[in-house]
Amino acid sequence: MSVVFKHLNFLYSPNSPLQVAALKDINLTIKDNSFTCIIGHTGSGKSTLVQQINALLLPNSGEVNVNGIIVTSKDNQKKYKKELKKEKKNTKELFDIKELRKGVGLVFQFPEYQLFEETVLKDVTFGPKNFFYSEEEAIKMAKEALELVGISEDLYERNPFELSGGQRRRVAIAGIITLKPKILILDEPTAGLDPQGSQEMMELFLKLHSLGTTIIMVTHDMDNVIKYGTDVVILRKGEVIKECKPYELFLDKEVLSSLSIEEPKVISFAKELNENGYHISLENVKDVESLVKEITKESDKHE
Amino acid sequence: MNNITLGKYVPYNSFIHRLDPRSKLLSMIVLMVCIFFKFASVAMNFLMYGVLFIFIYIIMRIAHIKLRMLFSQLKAMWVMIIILLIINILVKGDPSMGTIDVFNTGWIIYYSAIYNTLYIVFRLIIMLGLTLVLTATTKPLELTNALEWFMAPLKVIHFPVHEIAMTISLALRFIPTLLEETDRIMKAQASRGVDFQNGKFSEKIRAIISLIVPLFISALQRSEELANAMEARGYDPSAKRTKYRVSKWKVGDTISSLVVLLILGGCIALMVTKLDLVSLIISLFMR
Repeated sequence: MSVVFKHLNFLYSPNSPLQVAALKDINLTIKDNSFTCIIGHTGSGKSTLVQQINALLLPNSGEVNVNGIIVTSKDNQKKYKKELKKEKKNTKELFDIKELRKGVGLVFQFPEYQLFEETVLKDVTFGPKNFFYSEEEAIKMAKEALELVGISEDLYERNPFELSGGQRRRVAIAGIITLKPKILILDEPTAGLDPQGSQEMMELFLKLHSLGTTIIMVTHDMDNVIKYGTDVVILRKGEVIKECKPYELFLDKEVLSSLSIEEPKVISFAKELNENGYHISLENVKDVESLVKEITKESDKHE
Repeated sequence: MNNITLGKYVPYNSFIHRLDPRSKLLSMIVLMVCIFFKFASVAMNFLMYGVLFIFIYIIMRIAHIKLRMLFSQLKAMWVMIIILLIINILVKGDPSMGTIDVFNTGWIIYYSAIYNTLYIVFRLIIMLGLTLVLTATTKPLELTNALEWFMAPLKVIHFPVHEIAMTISLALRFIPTLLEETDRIMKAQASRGVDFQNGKFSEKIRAIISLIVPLFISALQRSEELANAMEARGYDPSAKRTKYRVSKWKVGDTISSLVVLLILGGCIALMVTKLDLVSLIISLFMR
């Protein structure tokens, strides 16, 4: 499932004194099976951008094509329908939001706030039931998801509000991945977690990614970008200013300084080594372990 | 969620925006009193509603408030209006204004029932217009300051004026926050497949529960955090407090208050003298 943005514009409170252009002429392709990180300052339109993919916000002009389902304004939908009627094609599937949301999961910032049922299991089955799965199927799916996020079986019948913050977030995430979405959107999933918890969370997403899920993550954490990301999109004031591989971002001094991003320590370390005669390919540097591996590789060559 | 405009401050710099909140609050109350007067005849009542509406429309123009904002709020009220009409029709009215015999079946509808419903509709429109002008041109904080000022005499009888003003200002302050929160939770549940617009009744109830429970939890949590934060900064409701922004009564306030009081005076005079301007004008033309 690839996501293609075409000339997308989005305004908040259109036709009022508070009108703000949140996204301006976005043209972007998010590849199948990628782990795409979206970075940018607060208010640069990151969250707005990802909400378009799930049709939670409809663009004012332009469109997003999510594997054949088109998200576009109501007026544009009418135009499409007219054109397709002439060609006698079926238009229902083209704008099927329910089908779209089944394939695209969205984890908001602080997702634990969306819990509401009396028990953990019931809350996780809420999603599948909304998509007309039977009770047994829903429970089966929920148990799989809970196992995946690491919630032990003795917690299934507990009230979600009795759990710890980290556990609650896991339950909330289970409630989304239980539908096995092809695309998982994460809006700062590690905000407010301790380092241990946030690493466990990221490992979970990496596991989902290896199982074939396309992951789109909004983040501020450059260490996560370099460690997990396969692609990165940089937004500034509602515009995409760069689209590249993570290591390429840290070679572009102009963008780095304009966004005042601090590069990850492993990258600066590798860069410094390169300045002093090493030839480490930054592409392979993801975290401390991979850096060490690269350094030993280089040292072996010299010997 | 974004179409809720009631109580939303719209930042412009018009004459109405610059008025002292106290004079605006006073004017609103006085004008609201005006719409509850009963005049000499039915036609006269409608004429006065028309005059008041035109007056409020002019104020709305000055304050850059679009008529669309007013009518978008009325949209939600048509159900109420229909229920009112039904109740009024079922209740025995004033036969002196005439009746209609529906399909000659002996089921009688009183004209006064229809008039009464129309009165309520017009009053609602005007009242909504007035509150819209007040809330769209006055920051919530200014408004509560004005309220506190008006209630100040009640302090003598140990009425908790400051506490009430603080409660109101906090409630107003958190309306946009709660709306934002509602929007967020609705979106989160929508991406789990909840459909808030369509579906059977039982599905809709379930959808609303999935919104209300998280909303209550976060509101309670927020209020506790707020109370702690206020206490940590040494907030004491009984202490004497000074204001950061002191509102000033200017010439414009005196003038606008006088205009409003003139309207009130005119209305009272017309009511007391039972002068029927409509029939007077008609008889003038007939001659």
